[in-house]
Amino acid sequence: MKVIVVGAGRTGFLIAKWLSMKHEVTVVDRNPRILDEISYALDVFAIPGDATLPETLKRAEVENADYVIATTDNDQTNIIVCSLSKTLGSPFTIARVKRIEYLKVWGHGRRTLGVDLMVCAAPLVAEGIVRVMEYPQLTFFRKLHGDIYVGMSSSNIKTPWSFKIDNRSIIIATKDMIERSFKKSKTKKVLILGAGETGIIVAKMLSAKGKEVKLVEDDFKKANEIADELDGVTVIAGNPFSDFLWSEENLSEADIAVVAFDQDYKCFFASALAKEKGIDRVFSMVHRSSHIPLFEKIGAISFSPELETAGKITAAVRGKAVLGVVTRPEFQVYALSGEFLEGTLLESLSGIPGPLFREGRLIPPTPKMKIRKGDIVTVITEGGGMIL
Amino acid sequence: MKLKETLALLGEIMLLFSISFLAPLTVALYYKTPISPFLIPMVMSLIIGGFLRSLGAGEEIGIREAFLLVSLAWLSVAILGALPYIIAGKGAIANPLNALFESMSGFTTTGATVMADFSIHSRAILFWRQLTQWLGGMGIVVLAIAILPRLSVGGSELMSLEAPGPQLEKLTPHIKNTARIFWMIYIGLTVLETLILSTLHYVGLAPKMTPYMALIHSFTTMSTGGFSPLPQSIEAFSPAVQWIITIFMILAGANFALFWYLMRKDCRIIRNEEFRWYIFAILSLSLLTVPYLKHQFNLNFTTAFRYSIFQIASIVTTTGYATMNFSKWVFPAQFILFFAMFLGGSSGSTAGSIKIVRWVIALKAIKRELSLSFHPKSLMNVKLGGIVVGERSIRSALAFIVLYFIIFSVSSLFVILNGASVNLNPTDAMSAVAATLGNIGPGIGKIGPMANYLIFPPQTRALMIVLMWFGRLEILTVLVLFTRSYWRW
Repeated sequence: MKVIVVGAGRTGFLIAKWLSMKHEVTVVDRNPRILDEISYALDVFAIPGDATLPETLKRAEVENADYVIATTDNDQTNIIVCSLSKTLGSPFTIARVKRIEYLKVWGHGRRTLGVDLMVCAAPLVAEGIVRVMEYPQLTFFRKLHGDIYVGMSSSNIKTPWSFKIDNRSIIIATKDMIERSFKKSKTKKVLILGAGETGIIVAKMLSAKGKEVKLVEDDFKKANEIADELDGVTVIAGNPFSDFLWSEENLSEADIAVVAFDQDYKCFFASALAKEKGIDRVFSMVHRSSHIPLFEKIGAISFSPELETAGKITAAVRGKAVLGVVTRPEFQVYALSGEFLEGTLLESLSGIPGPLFREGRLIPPTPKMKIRKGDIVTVITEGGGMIL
Repeated sequence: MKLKETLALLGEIMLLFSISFLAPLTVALYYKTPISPFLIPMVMSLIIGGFLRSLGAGEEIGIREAFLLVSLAWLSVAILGALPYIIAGKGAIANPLNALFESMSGFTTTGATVMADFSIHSRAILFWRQLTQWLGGMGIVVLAIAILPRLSVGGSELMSLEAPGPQLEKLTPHIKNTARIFWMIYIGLTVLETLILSTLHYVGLAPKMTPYMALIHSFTTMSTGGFSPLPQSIEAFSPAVQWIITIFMILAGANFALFWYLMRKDCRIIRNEEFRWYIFAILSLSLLTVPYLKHQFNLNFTTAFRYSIFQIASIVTTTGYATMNFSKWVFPAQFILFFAMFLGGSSGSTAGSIKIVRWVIALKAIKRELSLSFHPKSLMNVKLGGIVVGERSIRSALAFIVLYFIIFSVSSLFVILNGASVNLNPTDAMSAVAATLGNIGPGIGKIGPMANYLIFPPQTRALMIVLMWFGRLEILTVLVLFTRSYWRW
């Protein structure tokens, strides 16, 4: 398939990298230097220019494109690129946006603004954080498809099915199986450092669940606005790195810390500080996904908006057979629909076969197992490998 | 420096290359001549290639390793390709140095030869000699990218290091497909030429151009190589054949990307500035030569033009065929050929030398410098076909031309000093340097199209092997390996 990716930032790069293995990818960006780098690193077509101009999109052959993915830093640019592409051709358009307001407008009616799929990282990351929070033994917990979830744990726990990569168990199971296997945590106090989009959504979701939430933001004006918006959350305007503030507000009594600054170095330092102050579970945003191992080294559980967005977007491009994808830097889990694989043996799939879900029951995989029509098949691939 | 990974990829290329020995092997079997000259190198390529490949763990190589890989690929292919001549053991090319000369001259599509007597060699050896040029024409690395899946990432970097011209034009998102398009056009044009020449044979217009001859001459036309198993080169064939070969030489020296656009009904070939200058250069130099030929050989205009355009096209496209022994021409006419040696074909073709596009950019940049001297505050861009040429491209075109002439003059000095004993005319010596560095083949005077390079002392022949290698990879690819900073951290 022909895919145009507009914006060669980190997310755009990741999407282009994953998709270029199977599809013909054209990357458009205004910065020729970034394009030089990308055309060296990846096997893609690079076109310099402003994609909000019809001329540039025509040079990228938008009339023949199957997908247009707009993933620049600017929401408005992304939306214009999508609408323009719809006018010039008939691709499936995907826009990445930062502001939830756009997502809300888009949610009102299908295909508003010429965007077929709008992806916003903040709510995706926030949901991920809140979900993992409930299970203390898990470092990662994400919905794969329907009722099927993927979890990751560093300790050994008995579950219906798990798979080991680098001393960590990957668990694929339905939600109630996970609820039976893991104790829910009794988290009460949550400290949020940094009031970005994600931090605010997490605060809202947690206070709705009845948790005691404190949010620290050093920008006084911003803190003030948030305090007006959030009810039931204690918003503190102050330096999150100040010892005085920590002791004054008893911040170290929190059960969980969520770090959500805009820059990685700030997140990293705050995570280390929270660990040092004795907070056991620290969740941190990691903007550059290659920094994830660094955060894991200090024991922080990382959440990458970049991986979430790129994963969600590439899943949309992967066609009907793929029901869902969960992406981590070290592995990916796919849910495949049995309808398209009827009669195939599990061993003939590329990747490591995970459990099969047949009529709501989990069946551990055996190589000679034949896929039936109604099945949901799960497959794990290591590294950046892609199966479809 | 990921040396092991680089060698592993080199091994893969060698494994792929080993297949090419099957073609002369078949010819040898058909004519019942010895097959060992091809079987032994084939097995050797398989063993060495397999060993090298086992060194790597499948990691990707970087931009730095690409230079080493491409340079080594060409060197090792030339060495392996020289083995058949040594093993066959006939004539001057049985000597290892001469064999490497002939092989390097083949793969780099130079066409300079150290063969004195063509009749003693078997058909299979002569077939191999033609095939080396065809394989080298579009390039071994380009072929590897088209076939080997591992070379897709970073492949565009590798391809631009091998492909003639300042930059590579990617035609499709996947470099593999671009490499395939280039090879398909190359194969397509080779087949077309073979068919046309064979047709001429069957309608009686070309008695000597049998289908076999048509094929092996198409090999060396499309690759702008210029080898021929006949000592008289294309002079042996009828005027009709000469015209057809003229046309195909000119096609081979044009940018192949333009043919691809043409196939997609995009006629940008007509508007392409490099193509226009390329055609203009061939036509004007041909017309310039006509009066000299008319006068010297007492010819009519059509015949004189046929001779002049053939030799000019042969030199400008760096093919090196001849339809008359131009070393017998009057000196001014010979000097036009010598001048033409520095032009080169288009970028993205199979031609060698400096390339038209670099000259166009350089001349426009110089024109801009002149304007700037009396409009010091004006802002001026250098444009090519209406598109602004970046300052970096201008700089690299100028640097390339300067570098080319530095290497040319230093090597000329060496050849003249080293050739004192064989009483070499300086212009002949300089033409030999230009002909090897530019991958052209024959020079003027003593090393004309019907002569050979055996007159040079062995040291000079060794230098010329290096010059051909440098010339095919457009100097920089190989030259960076000889800088200190390349090998440092």
